[in-house]
Amino acid sequence: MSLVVDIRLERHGFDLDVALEASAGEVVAVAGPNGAGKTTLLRAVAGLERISSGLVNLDGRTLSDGSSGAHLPTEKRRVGMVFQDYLLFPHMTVEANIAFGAGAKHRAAEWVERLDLVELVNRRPGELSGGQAQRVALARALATGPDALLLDEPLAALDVESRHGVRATLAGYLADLDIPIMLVTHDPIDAALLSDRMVILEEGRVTHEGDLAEVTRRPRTPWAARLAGVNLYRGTARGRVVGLDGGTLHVADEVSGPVFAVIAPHAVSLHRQPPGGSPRNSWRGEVRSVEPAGSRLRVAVEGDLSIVAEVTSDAVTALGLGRGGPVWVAVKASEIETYPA
Amino acid sequence: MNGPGGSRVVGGLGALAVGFLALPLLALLLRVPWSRVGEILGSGAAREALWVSAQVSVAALVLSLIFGVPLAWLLARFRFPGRRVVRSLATLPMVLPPVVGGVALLLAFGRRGLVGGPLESFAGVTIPFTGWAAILAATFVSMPFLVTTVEAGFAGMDARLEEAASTLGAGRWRTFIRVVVPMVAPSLGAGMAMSWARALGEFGATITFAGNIPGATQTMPLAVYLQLEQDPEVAYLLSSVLLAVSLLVLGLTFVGRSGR
Repeated sequence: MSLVVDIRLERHGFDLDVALEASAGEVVAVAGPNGAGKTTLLRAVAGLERISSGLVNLDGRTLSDGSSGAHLPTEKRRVGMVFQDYLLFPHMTVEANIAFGAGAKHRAAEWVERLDLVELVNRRPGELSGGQAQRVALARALATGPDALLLDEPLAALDVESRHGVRATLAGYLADLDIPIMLVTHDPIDAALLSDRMVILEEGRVTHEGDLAEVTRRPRTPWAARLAGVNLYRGTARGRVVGLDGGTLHVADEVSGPVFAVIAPHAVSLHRQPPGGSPRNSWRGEVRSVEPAGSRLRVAVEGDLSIVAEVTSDAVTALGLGRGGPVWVAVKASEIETYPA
Repeated sequence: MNGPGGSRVVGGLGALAVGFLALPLLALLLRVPWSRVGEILGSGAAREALWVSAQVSVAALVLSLIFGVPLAWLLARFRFPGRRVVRSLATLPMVLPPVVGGVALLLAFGRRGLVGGPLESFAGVTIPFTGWAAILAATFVSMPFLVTTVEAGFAGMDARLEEAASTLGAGRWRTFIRVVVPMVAPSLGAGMAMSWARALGEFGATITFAGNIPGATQTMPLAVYLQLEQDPEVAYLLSSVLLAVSLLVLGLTFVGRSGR
C-alpha cells in the first residue's frame, strides 16, 4: 500500500519534475516557498491536472500514466483531498457535506463521531470557525474511504491564535490514519510538526528530503538556508579557499570543486573599523536592517558578500548600528562549514 | 442639482414617471368587465387561447432549459474563440424587434426557408403556421432571458466546488444536480420566471411566423389583439389576466432574490 508519484508537467512556462513516495500510514509534507509547484503537484495526484510524462500509482493502481496518456478521472481515483479554503458546500449542512461523497452515507456517522463534530451536524459551513470547517472538510474526505489523502496548506486559512491548537489536533487525526498522506505547506513549522518526513520543493524540483534536522543540517537552497537560519554561499574551492561571485572565503578544511559554504549568524562579528587579529575573512558592507531574534539582534549587511549577523543588543548600541552606515564583517575560517554542492 | 429647487424638479419628474407607468394599468383594471368574468373565461375562444398560451410558453421554457442552460454553462466556464460573438447572439433577441425575429424564423424554417425547405421536401415536415412555429417563436425571444441570468449564476459560483465534488467521487451529473443546480437555484428560478413570462407575452414573432390560428397558434396576446376589434371587454379581461401573471412572476423573482 503506497502512493508513488514520479511526474513531470509543464504549465504556463513552469515545469514541475517530482518523484516521491508515501507509504501507508506515512505523512509526507511537501514544503517550499510559494510558487514552487506544491499545489500543482497535489492537483496532479488528485487528477485535477494532467501530467506530461511519468506516472502516479496508488496501491498498484495506475492513476496517471504519461507514456500512454492514461488519466483516471478524479472521481474514480479514491484520493481524498482537503483544500486550502476547505470548499465545503455552502448550501448543505455539515452532515450533508460529510455524507455527500461516494459511499459516504454509511461512514458519515462514524467520522462525525471520530472528528468530534456531533454538535455541529446541523450547522451550515458559514457558521463554522476555521478549525471546525477544517475538521468537516477532513471528515468529508475520509467518509468516502479514500486510499490516499491529500491536504493543501491545511493551516493557511487559520488565524494565528487557533493555529497551534488545530495543528496539534490535526497531527493526532493524521497519525491515526493508515493510508498514505501527502500534505503541502509553505510553513516549515507546520511541515515539521505534522509529518513523518519532509520533502522540500523549490522551483518545481525536490531539493531536500528527510526530517527537519536533516533538511536544515546541510541546506542546499536559499529557502532551506532561511529555514535553518544560516548564511549559505555556493562557490568553487581550491585548497583552503572558496571562490564566490562576490569574493573569496578562507576555510579551515582542505576542499576542492563546487561546494556550499555555511556561516551561522552568531559566528559573524561586526566592527566599525577594519578588524585586526585572527579572522581570515573580513570585508566591508552597509547595514541594511536590524531585527530582533530572541534575546539578540539580527543585522543584515549588504556588500560584496551579503550576510546576516546575530549580535548582542549591547554591540548594536556600542557600534551605533541602528544608524546604518558602513561596517566591517569578520568571520573566522574555523566557523565556516563546507560540503560538496 | 443644488438646493431644494433642484430636488423638487427631480422629485416631480420621478412622480410623473411613476404616474406614466401606473396610469395605463389602472385604466385597464377600471375597465375589467367583472360581471362577465365567468362567461368570458368560460367561452371557447378564451379557453382555447389560454390553453394554447400555456402549452406554447411551457414548451418554450422547456426548450430554453434544455438548450439554454448548457449554453450558459459554456459561456460562464470556458474561454473559447468566438465566445463574445456567441454571447452577443444569445442576447440579440432581447433587443431585436420581435417581428424581425419572426421574418428571420420564416426565412430559416419557412416552407422555402434555409432549413425549412429541405425539411419539407425530404422529411415532409412543415413548421410555419403550426403550433411548433409558435413554440419556436416564443423560444427565440425568451431563451436569452434564461441564458443571461443563468450564466451570471454560474459565473458567480466558485468552480472549485465542482473540483471538490469530484475528489469526493461524485461524477459530473451528480455534481451538477447536487452542487451546481442548488447553488445557482436563485438565478435559475429568476431566469425561468422571466423567460417564461417573455414567452407568454410574445406577439410579433408569433403572428409573423406562426399566424393567428385559433386553437393552434392563437396565444393570449394574439387573442387580445383580435378581440379588441370584436368584443373589447374580452380583450380587457384577457389583458388583466396577463397583467396578473406578470405581477406574480415579478413577485416570485423578487422573493427568489431576497431569499439569498
